[in-house]
Amino acid sequence: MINRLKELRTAAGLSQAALGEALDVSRQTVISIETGRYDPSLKLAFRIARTFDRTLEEIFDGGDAR
Amino acid sequence: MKQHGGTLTEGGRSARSGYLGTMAGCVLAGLAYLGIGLATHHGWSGAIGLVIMLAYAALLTLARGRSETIGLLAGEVTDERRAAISQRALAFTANVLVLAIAAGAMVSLATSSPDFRVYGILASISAIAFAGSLAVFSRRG
Repeated sequence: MINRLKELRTAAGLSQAALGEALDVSRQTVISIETGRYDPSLKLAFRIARTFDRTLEEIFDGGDAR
Repeated sequence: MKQHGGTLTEGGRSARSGYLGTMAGCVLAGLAYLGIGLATHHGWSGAIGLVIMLAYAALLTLARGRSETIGLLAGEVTDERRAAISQRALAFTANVLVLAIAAGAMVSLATSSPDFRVYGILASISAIAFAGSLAVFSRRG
């Protein structure tokens, strides 16, 4: 799944560690989501969306996933 | 940016309780080694077992911040990704153990070894645990 997390994080001037702290996840988890190696659960995805005041669709793109 | 506080995360558990549980497990295992050693008149080997477990706990404590793998070994399953990693590692380990038990059972059967009884018990426990957990987890959805 493609996402814009890195773009939003850098625009907000946050480090990966700071975002991890804000989301209550580890820095490695933030890195894994940014690089697309890990797809977050719906709960975490919603938390990310709320953190940046965006909708899920504005951050995550599941492509043609069914 | 909005903040989400708290020490517990979905799919994970608090870092402190996981870490303390692992440390308690290490100390208890070490004390069990010592107790068994003393009870069987092998006090030195029991003491060595205790020292090894305490050294392992110390290594985990010192290195858990430097490596995610060591952090996971120390019980720091702090978020959903780490919980998923831990579950995948557990499933892989269970597969390896089942293969080892099956191979041991076949070899002991072929060599008429009395170990077949032990392997048979282990295989039965594995099968019951697997079927039972499938039944419970499929009901939970």
